[in-house]
Amino acid sequence: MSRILSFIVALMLLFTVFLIVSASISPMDVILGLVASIVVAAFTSTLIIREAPQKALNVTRWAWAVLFFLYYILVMEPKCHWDVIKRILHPKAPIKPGIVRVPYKVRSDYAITAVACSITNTPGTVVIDVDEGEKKRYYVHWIDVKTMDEERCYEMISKTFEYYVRKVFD
Amino acid sequence: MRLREVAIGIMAATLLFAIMLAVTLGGTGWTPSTEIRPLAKFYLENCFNVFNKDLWAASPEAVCAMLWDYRGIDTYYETAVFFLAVIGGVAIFRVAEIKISVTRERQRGLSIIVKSVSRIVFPLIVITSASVAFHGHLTPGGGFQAGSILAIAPLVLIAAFSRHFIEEDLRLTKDKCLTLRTVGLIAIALIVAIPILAGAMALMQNQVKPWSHHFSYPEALGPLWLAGSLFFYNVAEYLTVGAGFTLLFLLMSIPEEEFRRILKL
Repeated sequence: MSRILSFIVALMLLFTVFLIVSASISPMDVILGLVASIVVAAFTSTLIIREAPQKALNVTRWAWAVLFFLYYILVMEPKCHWDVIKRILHPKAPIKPGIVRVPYKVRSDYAITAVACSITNTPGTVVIDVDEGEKKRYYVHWIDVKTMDEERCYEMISKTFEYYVRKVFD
Repeated sequence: MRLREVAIGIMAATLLFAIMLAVTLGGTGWTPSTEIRPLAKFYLENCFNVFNKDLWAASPEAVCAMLWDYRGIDTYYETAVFFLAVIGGVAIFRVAEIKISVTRERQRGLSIIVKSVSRIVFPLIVITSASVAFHGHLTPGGGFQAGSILAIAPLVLIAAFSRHFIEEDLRLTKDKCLTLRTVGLIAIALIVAIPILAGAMALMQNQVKPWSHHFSYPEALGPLWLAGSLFFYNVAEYLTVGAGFTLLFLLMSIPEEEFRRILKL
């Protein structure tokens, strides 16, 4: 059952991308897109979906994803950009770069990836490596190391991301 | 040190200024005219001329029509040369069995972040390449380009996971690639030969020509615009090139130590 559901979810994703890439919804593209998507989904559905596929069909998760995206683009990104712009234009260039440990509490692969990408995409912080072993944590390069304490780092860097990402992926 | 940097800066600026001057003063030599030249006109008139189908190729994509219809034999030999190159690659890397220890290989690959992204990107590259292949006779692109895009997908997986992941988890072995490639080339050969078998006068005949009234590939199949044989050529070439490049990438990603071990060097 979950195998079939995985296939359907993969099919929907691939079919949508096919139509976007083709930039057309003519009958020809719908037919060819379905054929291609079915073939590709048959091979790759287990590659895309590793856990419960019903998560991808959950409307609440999608709503949280949209909310996260809007909040991320409209609030968090400009804030971080402004911070880095100030540092660049400041005559003394007040930076204190360093690599800190940031623990993570999300569980699934995609959640870990989403949080890492969110951290990297905001200016000022870059995820360099991730430790998936006993100590679950990221190694983050920070333009202005304010603290070395792991929990404090978590609160300052990734807490908000994790809050949203957990609602979307976990 | 400081002087050197200043000197480099001045030199770079002088070079840029010289290029800018040359471009602004029109010193780039002869520029093609904006009018349609006779040769281009000929091609345009004969690719998708719905009013006079005597010489048409049923395809609005002039480049694709030229590639497969006007100079199809050339393209066929090009594909054959590439096939021989792959065969040569297989012959050079002719180690029959590569058994990399599975447990060691499982823990390899890049971090979970790269792996998760690659999991999504892989199918998307494949579906994008399929779109390019299916529209080769309508828009820029076509079989070779789509096949090249397709081959990038396994390359991403080789980098993010390992070669082993492709062969074991996706079950895409080099033998399967070779089979797929051969099937593609045979398909092209069949599409080439069918007009002759059906009584036409020319190999690679796409549409009926004034001197050959016997055979024509269908222009369209219901809502599917096929442009005669061009669609089939593109799909076959897509498989051929995609599988060929994947095969080469798989061969090239065998670690050197494995060769040394097997060849007992």
